[in-house]
Amino acid sequence: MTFCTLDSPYQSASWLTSTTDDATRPRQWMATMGEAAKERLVARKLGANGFKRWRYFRQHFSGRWGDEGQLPVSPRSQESLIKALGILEFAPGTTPSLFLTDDGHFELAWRDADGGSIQMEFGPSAFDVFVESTGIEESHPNGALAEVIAKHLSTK
Amino acid sequence: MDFPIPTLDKLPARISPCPILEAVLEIRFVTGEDWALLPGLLYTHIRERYPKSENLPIAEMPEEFFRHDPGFTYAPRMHFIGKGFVIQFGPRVISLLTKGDYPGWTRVSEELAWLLGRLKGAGFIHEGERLGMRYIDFFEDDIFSKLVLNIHSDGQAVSGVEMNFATVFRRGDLSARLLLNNGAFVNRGNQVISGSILDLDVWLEASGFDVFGDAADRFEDAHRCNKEIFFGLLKTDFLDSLAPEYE
Repeated sequence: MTFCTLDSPYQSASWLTSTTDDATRPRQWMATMGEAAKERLVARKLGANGFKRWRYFRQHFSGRWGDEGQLPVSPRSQESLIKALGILEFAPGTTPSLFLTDDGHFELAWRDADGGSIQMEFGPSAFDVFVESTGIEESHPNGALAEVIAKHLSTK
Repeated sequence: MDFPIPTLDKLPARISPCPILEAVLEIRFVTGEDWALLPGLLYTHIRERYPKSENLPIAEMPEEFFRHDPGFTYAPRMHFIGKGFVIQFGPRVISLLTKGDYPGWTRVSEELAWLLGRLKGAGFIHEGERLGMRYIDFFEDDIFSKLVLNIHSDGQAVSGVEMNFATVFRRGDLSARLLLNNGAFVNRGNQVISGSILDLDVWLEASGFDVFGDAADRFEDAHRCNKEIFFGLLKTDFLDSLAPEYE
């Protein structure tokens, strides 16, 4: 059930919903409606492992977690991550790693063509960027995401 | 990518018979509080209007079930019953539903404003994730023949067969999910009536609203958008047959 209520005020005819049973553990799934473009993007940019981690974080870190009551995944951090993935172009063969910080922020880390480290942490209202090769370590409001990526990370 | 729907110059204030089965105004959120504490935190703030609470059947499922099935992440687990409205509540969701006859948007938005104020007092919402405004409408006709939306096969309109249609599209900052089904049934008194459902959910994502800031205004936007899509989808002669009243 994916939309705004659980108990339906109506029933559908069974012939519109019944299907031949699939495997007990099907290999396929359908994205929640409205999420397909997002899922395609994450799969394309982060690969299978990153995609799995993203789904795992969203599913299992939505409340406090860890030994010290770390914060839940921030929905706005996630939106910022998705926006960044839509803009970032990674060098061929480069797949960023995805992390979740204690503050509930998503963080991307990858290496440039020379092996230098690049990190981006996405907060609800601002993001941090670190580029080892140029020594850049900056924080910007989320509204500046496209501009900062174009300036510092366009070919990374 | 576009989903063309005409925009009417004037939107009716009401039509007759009112097709609204249910209106749902929903906020999904994240919280740092345990679910075990949340019903109590909410209840102390809403009990004057919602004195009765009940667990929904899904609440009986073990916690492990919810952890492993993403389909139930936003499922409400209990509800609070008030006069003309119900509040549904779960670990990541709270929604205001109309109960019985639709009381009109003015009354709904008053109740919503009251609930948003109470949520602020309860203080458990860490961050909003999604704001949704959904209307479920029922018609005793085959809705597919009454809409400007047509489904074709081999160049010919598909009609008179059972159909279920769903799509998601954007309208500015808002997303909309439209579901149409012409094999639906509702209970009315001791009768079961067959017909069609037009189910339209319009929502904003996290950065589009502030739960304790502009949420009431954003619900207004979502309501307006929902209404524009709904009336834009109806064929003119069908809308005329519903005795539209304008203000």
